[in-house]
Amino acid sequence: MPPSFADYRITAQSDGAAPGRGQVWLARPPARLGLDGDVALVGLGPIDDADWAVVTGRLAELASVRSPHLPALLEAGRERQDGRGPGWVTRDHPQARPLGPDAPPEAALAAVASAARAAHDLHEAGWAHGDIRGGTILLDAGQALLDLPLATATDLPPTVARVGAPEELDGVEPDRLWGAGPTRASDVYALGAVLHRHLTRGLLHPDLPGDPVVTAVQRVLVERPRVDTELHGPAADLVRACLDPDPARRPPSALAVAERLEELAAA
Amino acid sequence: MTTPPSPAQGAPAQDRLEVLLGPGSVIRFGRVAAWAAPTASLALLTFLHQSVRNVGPSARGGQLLADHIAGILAQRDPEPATAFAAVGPADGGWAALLHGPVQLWDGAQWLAPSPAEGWRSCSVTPRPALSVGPAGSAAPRLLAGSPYDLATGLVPGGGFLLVPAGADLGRAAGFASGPTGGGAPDATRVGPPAATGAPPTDGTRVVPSPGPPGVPPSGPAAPGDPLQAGAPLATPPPEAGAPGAVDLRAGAPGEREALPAVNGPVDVAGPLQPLVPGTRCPSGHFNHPAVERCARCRAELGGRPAVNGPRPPLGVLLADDGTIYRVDGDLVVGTRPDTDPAVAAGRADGLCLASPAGTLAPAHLEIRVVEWAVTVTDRGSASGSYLVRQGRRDWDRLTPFRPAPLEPGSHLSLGQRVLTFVSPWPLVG
Repeated sequence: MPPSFADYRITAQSDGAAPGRGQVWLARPPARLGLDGDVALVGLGPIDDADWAVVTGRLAELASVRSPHLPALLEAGRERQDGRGPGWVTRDHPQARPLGPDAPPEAALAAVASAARAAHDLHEAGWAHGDIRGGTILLDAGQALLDLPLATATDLPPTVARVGAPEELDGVEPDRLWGAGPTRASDVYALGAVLHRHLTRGLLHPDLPGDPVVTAVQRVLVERPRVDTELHGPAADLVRACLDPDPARRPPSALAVAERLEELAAA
Repeated sequence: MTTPPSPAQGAPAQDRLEVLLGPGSVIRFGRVAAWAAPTASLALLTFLHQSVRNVGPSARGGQLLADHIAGILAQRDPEPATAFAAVGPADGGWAALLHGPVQLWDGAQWLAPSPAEGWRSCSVTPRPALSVGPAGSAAPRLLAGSPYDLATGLVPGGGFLLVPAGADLGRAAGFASGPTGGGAPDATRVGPPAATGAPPTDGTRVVPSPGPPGVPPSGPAAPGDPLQAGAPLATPPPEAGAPGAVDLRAGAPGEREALPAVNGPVDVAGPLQPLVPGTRCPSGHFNHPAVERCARCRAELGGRPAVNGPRPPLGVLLADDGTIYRVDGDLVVGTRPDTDPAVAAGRADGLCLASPAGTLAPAHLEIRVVEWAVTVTDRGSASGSYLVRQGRRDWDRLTPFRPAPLEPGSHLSLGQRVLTFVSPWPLVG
């Protein structure tokens, strides 16, 4: 039995749920919104009154970021006003699906390039994404998008990550696991990691999948990421540059990553 | 002409700091002093307290602190409506940082934050003293031989009067003198400043209450003030079927600025982190003073000088559900930490955990951060809190309300949930 969210009618459970970010539902919006078609409804945890004021302010700020590479936020609400019911937020592109690990390299290049442009648009608007990975790069009818950084807007206090499986730590910059907040540099690192994953089918930390999460965190902190030695050429150079331990030697922006990827795709 | 006393003259610090009556907090360490309004969060007060303590011994501690706070405010202003100020020695003079509805009287003129920015970093010259207090307060009386002097610490107070060592109190026309025995004057008087008998001498205007943009000035509301008149809020009424829902489609641009460049600042400290002693590696990364290699780039730190810098995060708490929380300030952990007074007052963040077994208390334990030290305290929960330290196998039950050091690698068990503390620093307890 699907849950109830205000006057939305849940039509299906989406398989586009981002692990740890709450379930995503396909929902029929109420007529009062004047929308055609379904929307994606993302469940949030319980949010009390004080936090709700902060969260909705942040969501409204996030909604003002205009980018053709980001979904659009529509509405946010809470099931109960006493802080004990779940919050929810809706966005467009309900049919979007995550970039799967088996996506062809050419498609992955284009999708990561689009995600990099989205990240750049966020950075220029004052937001770091903090969770760029295959699961948050969305494909919808030939269009590639970067899912919105809802955790940044709704987690109080801010979380570093929500790890569903140890391998999700593969693209998390080690600084972030020491507690540093997300930055342009950490998002560029994550773009390099997701690119590596889709070009090589391998992880920068290959032993992560068998680890408990605690061990996985320690592994990412002490191990240098290992770029697959079979990866050669300009794509390998870009991956290595994105993963450079010194942020100052990484590509200067996510836009630079996008432009380099588009050159590679064109070649 | 009075020669302004300079803190760089090498004499032992003999400044006198008189705490003025009124709400707020006054901090002094060495030659650096600060005042914060009672609306300051605990995080801000802790930041000021620790920072003043750390830069207090420096011959240019005022400049260090003003520069540090200005750097933070240039990025983001976490508490734009809160009045606070810091004053201390700089090269050849004194430096001040003024924020929110606050003002500084230097004996000749009132200084206040820029109305546009909401804050101001500036040089000041005590003539021969200076006072700091909330906007709208009057200059205090300067009493020769006053016994009042906060030597060091953090105390309640509505502002302060700083009399530098060697000040010529015979030339204190800017401070109304008065007979002794009246105690410290009241710094919370409401009304226009001055009343000192000494109008500004250099053409500087008398600055009215300079609250930051969008913040109503202090004092009674004027007729028609929407806050006073109970005017309706601009928010549309909730729609039937979705009470309280917020339409996000139009967005609401905030005041965010583009993120710093990839090769931008190397400090990873969050906003309002206090200055603490540590060591910088050749790349500028700030480290715990006891580590031998940089936690970020592994550079050797041997022989590097001790400096003060903004405290980086102290690590993360990894929950058993895979959620990773940053530790860079006080935390209250439980099922409803928002009900805890410290969280409600903004003095701590709430870390909300689900309790499938129903054994986790609303505010089960707290984690406190002081400089580089992290401690954990059980709040007297019925089911208790347990700690297993790295390299040990036994769970030790925490004594309620007694802080215990939280060392890197330690596991915490509370209400059948487990948190693991991961930190790059070797000794955080």
